[in-house]
Amino acid sequence: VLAITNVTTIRWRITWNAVRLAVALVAMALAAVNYQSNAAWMLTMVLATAAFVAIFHARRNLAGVSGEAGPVPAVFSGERIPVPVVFRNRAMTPAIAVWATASEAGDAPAQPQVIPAGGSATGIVTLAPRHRGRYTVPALHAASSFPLGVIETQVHVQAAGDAIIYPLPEGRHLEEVMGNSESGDDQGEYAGDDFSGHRRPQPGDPPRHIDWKAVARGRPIVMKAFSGGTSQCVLSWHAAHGDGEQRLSELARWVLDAEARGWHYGLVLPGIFLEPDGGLEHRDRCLRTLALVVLT
Amino acid sequence: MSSVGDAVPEFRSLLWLSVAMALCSVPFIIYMPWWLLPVLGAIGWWRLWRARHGYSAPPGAKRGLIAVAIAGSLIVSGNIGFGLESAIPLYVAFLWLKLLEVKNERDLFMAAYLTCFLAGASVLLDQGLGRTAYAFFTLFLTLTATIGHHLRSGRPDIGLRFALRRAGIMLLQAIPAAAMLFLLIPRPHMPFSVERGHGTSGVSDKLRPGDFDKIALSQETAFRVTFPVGPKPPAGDLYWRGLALTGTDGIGWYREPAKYFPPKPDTVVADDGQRIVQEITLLPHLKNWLYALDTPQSWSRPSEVLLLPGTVLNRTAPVTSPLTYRVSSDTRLSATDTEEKYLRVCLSLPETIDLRLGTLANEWREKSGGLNASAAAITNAGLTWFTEQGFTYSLEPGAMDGDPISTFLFSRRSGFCSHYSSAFATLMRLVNIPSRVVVGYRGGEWNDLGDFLAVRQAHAHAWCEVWEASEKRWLRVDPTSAVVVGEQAERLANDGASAVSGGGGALWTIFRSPRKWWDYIDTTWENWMFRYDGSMQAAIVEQLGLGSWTWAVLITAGMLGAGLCLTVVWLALRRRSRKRDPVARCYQRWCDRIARSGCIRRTDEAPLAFAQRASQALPALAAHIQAVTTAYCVARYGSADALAVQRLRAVIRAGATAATR
Repeated sequence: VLAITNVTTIRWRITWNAVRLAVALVAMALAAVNYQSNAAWMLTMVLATAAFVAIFHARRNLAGVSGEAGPVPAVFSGERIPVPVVFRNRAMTPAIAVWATASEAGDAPAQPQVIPAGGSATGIVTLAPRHRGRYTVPALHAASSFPLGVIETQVHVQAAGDAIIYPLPEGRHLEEVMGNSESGDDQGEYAGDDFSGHRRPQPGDPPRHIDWKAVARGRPIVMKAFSGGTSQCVLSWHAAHGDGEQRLSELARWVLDAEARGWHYGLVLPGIFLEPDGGLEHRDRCLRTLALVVLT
Repeated sequence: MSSVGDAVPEFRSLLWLSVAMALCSVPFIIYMPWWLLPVLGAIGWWRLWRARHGYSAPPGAKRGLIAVAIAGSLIVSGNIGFGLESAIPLYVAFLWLKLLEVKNERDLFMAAYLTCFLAGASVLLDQGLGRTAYAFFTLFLTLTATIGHHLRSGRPDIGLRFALRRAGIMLLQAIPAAAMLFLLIPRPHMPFSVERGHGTSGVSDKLRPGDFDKIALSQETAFRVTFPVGPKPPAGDLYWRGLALTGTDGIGWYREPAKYFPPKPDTVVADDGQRIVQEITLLPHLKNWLYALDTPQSWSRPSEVLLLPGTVLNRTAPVTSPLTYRVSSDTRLSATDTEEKYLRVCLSLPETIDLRLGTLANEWREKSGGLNASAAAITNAGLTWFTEQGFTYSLEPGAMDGDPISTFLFSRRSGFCSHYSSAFATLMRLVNIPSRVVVGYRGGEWNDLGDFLAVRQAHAHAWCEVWEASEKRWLRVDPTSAVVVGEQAERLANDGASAVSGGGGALWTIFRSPRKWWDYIDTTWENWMFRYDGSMQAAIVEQLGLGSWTWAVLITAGMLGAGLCLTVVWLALRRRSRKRDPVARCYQRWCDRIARSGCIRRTDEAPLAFAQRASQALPALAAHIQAVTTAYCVARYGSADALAVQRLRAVIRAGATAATR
C-alpha cells in the first residue's frame, strides 16, 4: 500500500501551445527590432522569461501529488472504460487543474480538478480497448498544464491492474436461433427419443441429456423445461456462425439474451463446458470465459 | 487521440480572456474606424452569450462571413494599408474573430498569446512611461486570464484573486532575468525596416490655410529641449524653425524642390549675437527636417545634417527613431539666404490673384512711406491694419470658400496662424518684398523638475519672414500674435510664458501641477529607453575591457545573468516547497541518520519496505525504526494534523538520544 515514495518524479514536456507562444514571441521581437522600440523588446523578454518561469510553477504545482487508479471494470470490446483515479496532494498548496491521462486515451476529454492542499480529488480517465481478452491498462498519469499551458507536467499514477474485455455482442439474437429449433422439422429429430420436445426436464439436467446431435447440426442446445418457470438452454460454440471471433461475439449476445429472459444457460466451447445456471455472476463467468478463449 | 485540449472552454475563461483582449485593444482605438468598435463589442458579447447558454463557437460559415464582411468594410472605408497603423484595425478585428472561434483549450491559449502580441504592439509607436506601464498591465491581465482558465473547479477560494496573485508572482520572478536579457542581448539589426505609416501627426511641408487646427489640440510631445549652456531664453523668442516655405499657388504654401537650392553649409555667417545651445530630443516624425531656434551656427552630426537655404536643418534620412542632437544658434536671424536667386524665388506669385489683395498691399505701402518704405515699416502698417480691422484669433473660423486668402482677409476676418502667415506673406510679395512662411513650433512647456522644455504638437505654429533689403537680413514677423490680445494671448502664450516664470516657489508649483511630475518621470524614462541601444551596450562591454568580443560576450553574459536570476527563483521556490512539508523533512533527516548507521534508503523504496530491511540490517535499532516508521505513516497517510508531526519528531528524538547513550 505504501508504494508512494518520498520523492515523486515529475516529468514535464513542452506542448504545442509552447510552439504557438514561441511564434507570437518571435513576431513580437521582430516588431520590436523593426520599430526600434525598447519597450516592446522589454515586454517580449518579460513574456519569454515568464514562459520559462512557468516550468518552475508547473513542477511545483504537481509536487506532492500522487495518484492511485481504482479498479477497472470489465466491459465489452469497443466500449470505453472509465477508470477512476484518486489524486492525493501532500503539499501545503492546492494543485491546480490536474487530470488523469493515459498513454492511450479514449475520446472523452478529462475534466481537470483542483486538489486542495493535503486533500484528495477524483478524476476519471477513459480508456478505449479495442480487442477482447486480458487488457493491460496502459501507464496512467496525473497531468497538468498549469499555469500557462506551455508545459505539461506528469506524475506516474499507480496502476490498477488488468481488465477483462468481453467480446462485443454481435450476430443473431437468441430468439432467431431458438425459433428454428422449435419449428416442425426439428420435432422429428426428437421423435424417437425419450426427449419429446415437451419433456419436463429436471433443473440442472446433466449434460448427457443434451441433444448433442442438435449441437453438431449448428443449433444451440435446447432443453426446454418448465420447472418452476425456468427455461434452460446450453449455448454452443458449434451453433454459432462465422469465424472464431464472430462465434464468440454471437455467444456473448446469446448469453446476454438468455440472462435477460431469466433463463438458465450453459456454455459449450471446444474443451470447455459451463453448467447451466443463471444470475449476473454466472453471466460474468460466461463472458469472462468467452473473453479469454485463445483461438488457434 | 483526444485530450484536455479538446474541452470546451467555460464561460468564465472566455470572460476573463475577453476582458484582457478589450483592455489590450484600448490603445488602438484611435487607429480604428468608429464603426469597428460596436462590431467588435457585438462579437465579444455574442461569443460570451453563446458560452453562457452552453453553445460552442458559431459555425465556420458564419464566422467566415463575418470575417469577410469586416475585412471588406475596412478596405472599402480605406482603413487598410501598409504600415502598422493601417494594419492595426485588421489585426484587432481578427483577434476578436479568433475569440469568436474559440472552441477548445488550444484556441483559447492561441487567442491569449495573440493578445500578448497586441500588448507588445501597443508600445511600438509610443514607448512613453504611461503607455509602457499600461502594456505591462495588459500583459499581466492576459497572463491572469491564461492562469484563470485552469481554475475550472467551481471552488470559491481559488478564483480571480488566486490567478491575479499567481500572474503577479510569475511576472515579478521573470523581471530580473528579463532585465538581464534586455540589457545584454544585442538587438539584431534588421536588413529591412517597416514603414511606419502616417499616424504620426505633426508639421508637414505643405501649409494650407486651415492647417494645424487638429494638432493644435494634441498634447503629444514633438520634441524636448534642454539648455545645457546658459540660461533659458525668453519665452517670446522660442520660435522653433522647421521649414521655410517659399512656393505658393495662391492657396497653400509649399517647399521648393531641393534641386533648386542645393545645400550650402558655408553660407552660415558668424554673428555677434548671443548663442543659445540647445540639446533637442526629437521624437520620430518620419520627416527629414530638424527643429532649431533661429540661425544654427554649429550642430552635432554634421555629416548627416545639413543647413538648407531657408536656414533650416535637414537630415539625409528621415527621423524614424528618437534623435538627440545639439545645436548652437544665433538668437538673431543672421545674414543668410542672401543670394539673388533665392530672393527672386521669394518674390514669386501665383498665376492668378485677387486684385483686392494688390490694392490692400499698396495701401499698406502708401501708409508707411511709399515706394521706398522699408520692409519693417510696411510690416508694421500691415499688423496695425489687422488690429484696426478687428481681426480675431479662432481655431474654428469656418471654411474659407473660393480664394481662401481673400475670404479670410475680407469676409471672415478670423482665423489662426496658417491663415495669418500665408495671407501676410502673399501680401508682402505683392509689394515686392521677398517673404517666406516658416513652419515649426512656438514656445513650449517648461518643466522645473527636469529643467527641460516640452514642445507639444499643440505648439505647432506658422509665421512669416520678410527680407529687409537695407539691412540685408531677414526679419521675423508673427502676424498671429499681433491680433491675439488679452485673454487669448495669455492662453496662446501660456506655455511659452511659463518658460520664463520658473523661479521661486518651485515646490509649490510641483504640488500644484502633478502633470509636471509626470512629465519629468516620463521624460527620464523615455530618454533612457530611447537612448539605450547597441552603442550603449558596446560601451558597457568596452568598460569591462572586453572590447573585441562584443557580440559573443553580450550574449553569453546575458544568458548567464538570466540563468543566474532564474536559478535563484528556482531555488527559492524549491526551498519554500520543502519547508512546507515538515513530515517529509523529518523523515528525510531521519533516513539520512540511518544511512550514516549503514543502511541507505533507495529513492524508490517504500517506508515500510525500508523499515523491514533496516531492521534486519541494524537489529539494535529495530524497535526505533519500527516506531519512527509507524509515526511517519500516521503523520503522512493518517489524519494530517500537527500532533502527528510532533509525535513523529518526538519519536525520532527519543531514538537519537537512545542511540547516543
